[in-house]
Amino acid sequence: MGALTLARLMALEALRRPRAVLATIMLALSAGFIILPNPGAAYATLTFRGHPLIYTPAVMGFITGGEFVAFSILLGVLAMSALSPMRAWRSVFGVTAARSWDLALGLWIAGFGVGLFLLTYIFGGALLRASSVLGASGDWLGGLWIFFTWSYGLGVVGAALAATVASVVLLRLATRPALLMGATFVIWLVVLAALIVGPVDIAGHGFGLEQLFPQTNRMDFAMGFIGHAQRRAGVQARAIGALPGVTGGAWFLLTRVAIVFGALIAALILSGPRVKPLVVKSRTWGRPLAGFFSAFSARFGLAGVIVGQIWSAPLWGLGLLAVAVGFETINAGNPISVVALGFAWGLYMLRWPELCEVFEHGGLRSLVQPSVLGPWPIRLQIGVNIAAQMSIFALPLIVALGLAGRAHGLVWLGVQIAAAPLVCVGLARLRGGATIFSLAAMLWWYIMISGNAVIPLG
Amino acid sequence: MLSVEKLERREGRLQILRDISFEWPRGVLAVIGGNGSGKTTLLRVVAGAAKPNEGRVSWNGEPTSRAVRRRGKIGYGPQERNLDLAITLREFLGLCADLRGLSARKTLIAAAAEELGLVKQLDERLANLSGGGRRKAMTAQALLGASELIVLDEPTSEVDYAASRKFWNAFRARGKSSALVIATHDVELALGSADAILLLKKGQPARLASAAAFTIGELSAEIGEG
Repeated sequence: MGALTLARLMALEALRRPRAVLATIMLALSAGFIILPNPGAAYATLTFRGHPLIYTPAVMGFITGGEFVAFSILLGVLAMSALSPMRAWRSVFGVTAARSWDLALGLWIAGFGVGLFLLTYIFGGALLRASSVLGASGDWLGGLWIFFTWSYGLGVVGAALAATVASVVLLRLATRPALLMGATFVIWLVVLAALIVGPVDIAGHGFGLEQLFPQTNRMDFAMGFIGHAQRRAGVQARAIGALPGVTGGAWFLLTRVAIVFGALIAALILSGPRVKPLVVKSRTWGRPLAGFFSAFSARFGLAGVIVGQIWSAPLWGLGLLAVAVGFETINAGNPISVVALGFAWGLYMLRWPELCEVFEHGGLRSLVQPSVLGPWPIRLQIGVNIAAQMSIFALPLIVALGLAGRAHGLVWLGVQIAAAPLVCVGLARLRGGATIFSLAAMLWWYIMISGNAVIPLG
Repeated sequence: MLSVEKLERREGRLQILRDISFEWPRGVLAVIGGNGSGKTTLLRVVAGAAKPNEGRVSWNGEPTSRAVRRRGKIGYGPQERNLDLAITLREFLGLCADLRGLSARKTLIAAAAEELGLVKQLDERLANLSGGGRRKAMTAQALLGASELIVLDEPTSEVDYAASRKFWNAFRARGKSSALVIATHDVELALGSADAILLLKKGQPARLASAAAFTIGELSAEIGEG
């Protein structure tokens, strides 16, 4: 009863935050738009088991659902925290002395709903990108149905996983946004590595093409846009609903349902001890050190406050940062230096949303408001400070690129250094903007540390 | 019966509470002390939100940290009032009632709102309430149902004087059937409405006596020294 009320009120809460809902929809539409490769490309952009995946409604659905599963944990947790201010919910949970599994169930239902909501708009974005594909076979509605069933058939698993992470992690770390994002990122990587690629096979890689495309052995892979063959007959593909009657299809459906229920049960089991009322904790350790740093940073005015806000809590991060910058220095100029740079910036980026929140809603605002400067010069100072600190992290790479005379590389770095603080300070004006920024920052971080960001030549 | 025996509580290396013992069967017990005297920590332990490092805090023989999990035993209104939510006060109270497993929630909400004079604000969104309004919301959720022990941490701070008087009248009425432990800086109202006052100084009980045994001057002087 309590869980259902909680889920219902979380949905109501989200609906009453139109700006956050709109921002989430825009984000999901954009995600859908970029999920699919360019339909007009004259080459096969994706392969599956060695076969080129060429546009058909089924392939579109497969890619959309599969990609959503891969990113759903990040997307789900971030969308939940944008749509529903978990810090405030957390203070409600604390006073009710409610059973944790009751809260976890309510959060899971809400998170699952948010996951499906995101999937719907990602689906919409993908549809915008390649709507003409649906009509290529002459049966637009039939194509849409195939697209829909495959997107949701796979994506529902991602929504369940996202709901589990949201209900367990968000509940405990609602008041520690930086830790929440760090934990989400680590869980995402672990789940991606251990489950999606591993034996559970959430993304359906083990699900044979023979079930997706019954004619896989003799089908014409040249159909679709590639080869300008839009008017040729489409490859026959099954809707999810037709699978129970196909060899291996029922097993596929059963495993997906089992994963969803498994995720729900995992959330209930992992819900942990009861949530206690919030209280400001008195920390007694490290006081002399904190005192020294606060006296030191006070000498640098607002810049000192910003540095203090970013680095005071995660002191361990300074050690990791030093390692990353050292690694970048040693490998300056090599592609691996971009990975180190991404790691250094990632540590820093994780603190920005908090900084922006503090600035817009809390301590920093009350600190600077009595000044004669007004908010915009302060925002400018914050932006400049962020850019300056990012430049320091990128210094080895700037020197290496400068010495090599790689102007394009320097522009590539400069754009990031300039864009990140602008986006951060700009988004901080919006409710939920900090969360959207953190999503973008996290994705950029992932692109860099996964080695996918290449410095332009020249 | 609330029973506190040789309670000690530390936060890290900081000793917040030391050697606190008292019993409270029923009625309104006001906990008064200066800032940082340990009122909030004492109330957290009494409400079962934190465990003592040493000693024992129990309600009818059961540790409060366990009793708080049982329906209708303990209601707690902490200082924290971060309620920046778009749900209404009515929805908030309904959620609290549901999460506590209380039945007949409509009746309970109406009764709590009537008791604290919140009827007109029931359909206001929490985020739109003033600081005092959110404080009232936190107090109202603690009063839902007929909890045997009600623990309130500064329920009338940020609340206007007229509402504060109404609150204390409500507390006194509740005190006939329940035990209330209330931390407050409203010395005057506490003197007029509480059955007894526990004076805390530096985490230790300086004095526990009937409210009639204190005067404003004496309490002010004691708080100033603390």
